Amino acid sequence: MTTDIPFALALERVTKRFGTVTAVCDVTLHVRRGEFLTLLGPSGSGKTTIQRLIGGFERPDDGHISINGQIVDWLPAYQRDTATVFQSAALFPHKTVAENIAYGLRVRRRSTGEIAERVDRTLSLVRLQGLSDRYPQQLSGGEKQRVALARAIVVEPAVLLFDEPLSALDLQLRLQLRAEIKRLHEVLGFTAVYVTHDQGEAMSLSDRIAVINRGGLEQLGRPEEIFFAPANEFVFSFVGESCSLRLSAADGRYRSPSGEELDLVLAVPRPSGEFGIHFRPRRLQLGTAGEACENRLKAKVSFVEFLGETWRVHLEAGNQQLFADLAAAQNIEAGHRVVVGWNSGDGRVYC
Amino acid sequence: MMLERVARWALAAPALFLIATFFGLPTLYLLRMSFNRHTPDQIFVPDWTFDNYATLLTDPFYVSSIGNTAVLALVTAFVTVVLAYPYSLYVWFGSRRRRFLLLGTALLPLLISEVSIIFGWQIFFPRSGVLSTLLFETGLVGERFSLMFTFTAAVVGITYITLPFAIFILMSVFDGLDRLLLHASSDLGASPFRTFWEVLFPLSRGGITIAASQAFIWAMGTYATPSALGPDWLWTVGFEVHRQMSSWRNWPFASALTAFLVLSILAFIIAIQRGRPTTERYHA
Repeated sequence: MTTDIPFALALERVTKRFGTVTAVCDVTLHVRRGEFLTLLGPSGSGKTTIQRLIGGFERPDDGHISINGQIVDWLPAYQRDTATVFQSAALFPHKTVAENIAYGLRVRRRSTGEIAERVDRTLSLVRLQGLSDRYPQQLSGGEKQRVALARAIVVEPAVLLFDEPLSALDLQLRLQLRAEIKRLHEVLGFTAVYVTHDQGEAMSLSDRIAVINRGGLEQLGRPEEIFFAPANEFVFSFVGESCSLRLSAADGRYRSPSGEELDLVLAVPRPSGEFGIHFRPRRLQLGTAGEACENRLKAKVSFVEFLGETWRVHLEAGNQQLFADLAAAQNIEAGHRVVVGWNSGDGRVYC
Repeated sequence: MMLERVARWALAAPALFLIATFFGLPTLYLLRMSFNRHTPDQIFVPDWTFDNYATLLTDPFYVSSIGNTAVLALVTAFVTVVLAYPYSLYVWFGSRRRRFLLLGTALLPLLISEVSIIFGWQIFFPRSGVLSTLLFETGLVGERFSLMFTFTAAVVGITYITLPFAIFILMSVFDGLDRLLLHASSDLGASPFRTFWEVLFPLSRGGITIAASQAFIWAMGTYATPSALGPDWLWTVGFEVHRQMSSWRNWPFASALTAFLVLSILAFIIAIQRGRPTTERYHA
């Protein structure tokens, strides 16, 4: 039947407009069966709209969406083989935990025996045995989200949709549930489209990440590719911590946009034009280690922050701010002049 | 502390004073009056007798009058909710503009006095009235007809007044619901009808109960509309109270009828509140 089509979900050149605003612009995405794909982007980037298009709560203006090879553009939400885990859990307050989980199966007219058996199995999968007769208002935030998870996975949808399911929880719970979702994906092998603005979640959970910005796809790739080989400035600055310098080159000198000249040596000098160099703060080296690098910049230390794992040295050069994360304090203090160095792979140049 | 408590009482004091003086005391007086005796030459003679209550519960005339009133109130409550529910739902799903227009429209009947409304119905319902003429002239009915002095007219007349309140009660209940639940339901594969039946209806049942009670209470107590528009046999308790008071000057019996009416409404509300399942408590 459908198993010869490798994609559980395909978006072909999908566009969605709201009035004069284009929320999603010409997005093409293919999600393999069993794949965990994350739509990562800032709020307002259109990632949630993409998910609503997949779930059937919006219709595309252009392009096509297919689930298991079948085009679903005009299929209403309730006829699509998707199930969503919402940020607010959206549990039915008048139904018990077990009734909430059974809902999708009852709607699909499964036999009472099958429903009971699958609800039980799913309850133990999400470690909620013993809570089946509780009402949602008697549950903690984390428990609610587990029920929401169970309610969606129990129907074994072709695509499981996650709409920022962890954003409303505190850090501890967030990490715990994140690991739980990862484990469930390993065990059940469902196809997932996960929407988040949290790059940590995206990195940890995903087989592939689609970075979304202003309604379009900025980059699609494995988490390592996204992190180590960001396709452009936006991806670089949105994924992982970063800092950057804006520069213009002329006659072998480099100037800030505000006009100050920088004391900068580049391994591959730029003859002219405007460009930006982006850094991962952990990759910058200071002092003698910096002097040994191919690329060097003289800067002044503004202040030093202790962050626990690292010391963050805030720097100023030519009216621009940078910061470097060091594993050791290195006796650097505010007011010092230091050499900031980096190897050529560690500073990415985007024009 | 002390001062705070005084201040809090001070805030409630004016309303409390008004209620105690102009509602509490008369009610007590009315209760006391209901145990007095009426004689042909005196409005009342002080006494402690249950005769008035015995009469209204045994005399077939008053029993049927109580029964008629209850039926009228139940039918009105039912019709009110059946009309108000879809209307409120339509408003809830609509745009802000639609909400403004439709809630404004729903409010209009409240701007007209009950007496004017009755006059309005009196040119609407008769054989030569607006309704009959309209349906006859457009050929929808073959013969002119009159709905004046019918049970239907009485129900329509009361519903006209109870409807706006029911709509506002239901609106506030709908506004308290999380629309995402409807999304979640259809997302899990439930058809719109299924979503209504499994999610929206159970979650708005509390509102239906309150809206229906409100209409029921109003219809139990009202007397002008049913006596002006309803049939001869529709003697409501409210009308009977009026008649006992002003025609027969039988204050003790009128008081007993009133006390009975208030107490039975109270019992009805308590029964409804008790009957609500505990799972509805999530609303708060």
